[in-house]
Amino acid sequence: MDVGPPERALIDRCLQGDRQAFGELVEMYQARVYALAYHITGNREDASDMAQEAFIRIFRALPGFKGRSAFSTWVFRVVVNVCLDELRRRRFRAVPLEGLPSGEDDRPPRQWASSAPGPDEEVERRELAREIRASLGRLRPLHRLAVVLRDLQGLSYQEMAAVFGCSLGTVKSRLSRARDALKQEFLRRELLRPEAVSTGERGERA
Amino acid sequence: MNCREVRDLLSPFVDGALDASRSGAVEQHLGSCAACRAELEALRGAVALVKKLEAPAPPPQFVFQVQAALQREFFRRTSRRGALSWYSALPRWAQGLAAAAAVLAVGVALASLVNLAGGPGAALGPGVESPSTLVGEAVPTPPPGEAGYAAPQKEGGGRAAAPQPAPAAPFAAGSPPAPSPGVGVLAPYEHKVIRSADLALRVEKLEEAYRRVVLITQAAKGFVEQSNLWTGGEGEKMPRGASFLLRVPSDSFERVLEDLGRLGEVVRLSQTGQDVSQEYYDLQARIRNGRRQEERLLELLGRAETVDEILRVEQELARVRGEIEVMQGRSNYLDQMVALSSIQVSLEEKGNEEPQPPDWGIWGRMWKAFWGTVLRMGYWIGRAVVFLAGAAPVVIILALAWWGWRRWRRSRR
Repeated sequence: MDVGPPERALIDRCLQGDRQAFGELVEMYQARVYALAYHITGNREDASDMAQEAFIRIFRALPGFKGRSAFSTWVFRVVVNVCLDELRRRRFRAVPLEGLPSGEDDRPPRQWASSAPGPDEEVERRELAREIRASLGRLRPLHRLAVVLRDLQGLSYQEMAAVFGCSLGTVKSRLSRARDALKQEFLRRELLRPEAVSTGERGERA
Repeated sequence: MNCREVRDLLSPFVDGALDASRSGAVEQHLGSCAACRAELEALRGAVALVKKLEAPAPPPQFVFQVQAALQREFFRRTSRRGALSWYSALPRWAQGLAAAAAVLAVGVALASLVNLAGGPGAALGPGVESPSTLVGEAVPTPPPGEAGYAAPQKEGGGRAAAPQPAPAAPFAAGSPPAPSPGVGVLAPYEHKVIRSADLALRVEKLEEAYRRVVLITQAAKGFVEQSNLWTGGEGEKMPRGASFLLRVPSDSFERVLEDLGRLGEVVRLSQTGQDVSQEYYDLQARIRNGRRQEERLLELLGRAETVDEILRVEQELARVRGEIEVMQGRSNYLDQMVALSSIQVSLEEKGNEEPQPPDWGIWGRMWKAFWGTVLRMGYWIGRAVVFLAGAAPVVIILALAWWGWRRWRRSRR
C-alpha cells in the first residue's frame, strides 16, 4: 500500500498540471472509488456524480498530499469526506433503491445466466440484493460507511482508522454498532430468521 | 466475561481483530453460552448477506467525464457569472440593498480619497484635473474582451441548426469570442513585446510638471492609470512629489519617454521589454486547432442519432469550448498588454531638500527621530479617523443588510 514509484511519479506530474497523468490516476482508482460511491448511494447516477466530485476534490487537494500515509488511504479519506458531505447535504433518501430496478439489473444477471440458475432463482436473487441494499440504506451515514469499507471494500481496522481519522477503538465500536443496526434491519425484513440463527444455519431466505 | 462484554467483542472477533487472550476468553464463553452463539451466528449471517452485494463497474467513459467536469469547474471559477452567483441567490430587496451599499461605498471611498489627498485640485489651480478623476480615463483601444463577446453570432450559424439539449446551455451564453481583428490565420509574424519603463525625475516646479505629465499622456492618446501627489501640506518638512502609472499606446512609448525626460533632471530610467511572442503565437495556433475541433464536433452533432451520442458529443464540445475560452482570454490579455505600455513616473521637487543639519550628536538625533515618529503617527492616525468617519454610513448600512439577511435565512429554516 506504499506510494510506489509509478504512483509518486504520476502524482508529481499531476502537480505540474498534467491532466493526462491525472487521467491515469483516475483510471487506477475509479473502480474502487466508484464501487464505494455506489454502495453508499445505491444507484448509478448518484454514484457517478459522487465519484466525479470525489476525483475533482482529489485533484484540488493533491498538493496537500504529503506522502505520510499510503496514497490509496488518502484517496479513500477524501472520498469518504465527499460521501459524508453529500449525505448530510442532501439528507439522502433513506432507502434509495426500493422500487428502483435500474440499480441491479445490468451486470449480475449476465454473470448468473451463464451459471444457469432457473429464472425463479434469478428473480429471487435480485430481490434479495435489493432488500440488502435497502437495509444498508437505512443505516446512518457513518455506519453505512463503516460497513461498506470493512465488509465490501475489505479495509483493515488500521486502514479504516486512517481513513476516518479516528482511533482503532472508535473504529471497532462504530463497526460493531453498525453491524448491530444492520442485523436488526435484516431481522425486521426477515432476511435473517431468529430461529434459523439459533440452530446455527446461515440466515438466508430459502 | 459476561454476555454483555462478549457481545461488544463479537464484531472484532468475527474479523479476527482481537488479541489472543481476549479472543480465547470469547471462545470460552461461546462454548458455554448458546444465546451468545446464536448472536454470533446472526452477526456472521448479516456480514455474509452484506458481502453478497456487488457494485457495477464505473461507466466506460468515466475518466473522460471526470476530465470534463474538471474543465467545467475550472471554467466556472474563471467566468464572471460564477463570481456573482451569490448575488443572484439573494432575495430581491437584499439585492437592491447590496447594490446601494456598493455604490455608496465606492462614492465614499472616492470622496475620502480626494479629501485625504489634501484637495490637490485647489493646489494645482484651474485647468488641472485632480488625480482621482483621471483614473480610468477612456482607453483608446477597445478592450479586446468586449470586442470578442460582441460577435458571437459569427460561428453561431452552424450551431443554431443543430439541436441544443439542456447540458450545453451554460456554455451557449459564453460562446467563444470571435478572433480579434488582425490576428487572422495569415497574420505576418511580428514580435509581441510587453514594454514598460520606470522613470524618476527631479523637477523645478512640482505642480507644473504634474500638469505636463498629464498633458503629454493625453496627447499620446494614453491614460493615467494611477496618480499620487504629495503637496507637503503646511509643514515644510514633508517631501513634495508625485507618482504616476501611465498607460500609453506602444507606438508612442519612445516619444512619451523623451517628452517626459525633458521635464526635469532624469534621476533614474530603466526600461524592460518582455517578449511574449512565443506564448502568443502558440496560443493562436492552439485556438485555431480548438476551433477546428469544435467545427468537427458540430458536424458530428449534426449526424448524431441517439440521445446518448448527442450527449457525448455535447460534452466533448463543452470541454473544447471551455478550453478555447480560456486561451482566448489569455490571448486578449496579451494583446492588451502589448498594445499598451506602462510607464511608472516619479517626480520630486528640487530645491527644498533640507540643508545638512548641524551635527547634534547622538542624543539630538535620537530626540529628533523620536519626535519625527510621533508626529508621523499622529498624522496617520488623523487620516485613519477621518476615513472611518467617512465610512461610517456604509458600515451601518452593511450591518443592517447583514442582519436582514440573517433573519431571512433563519426564517427559511
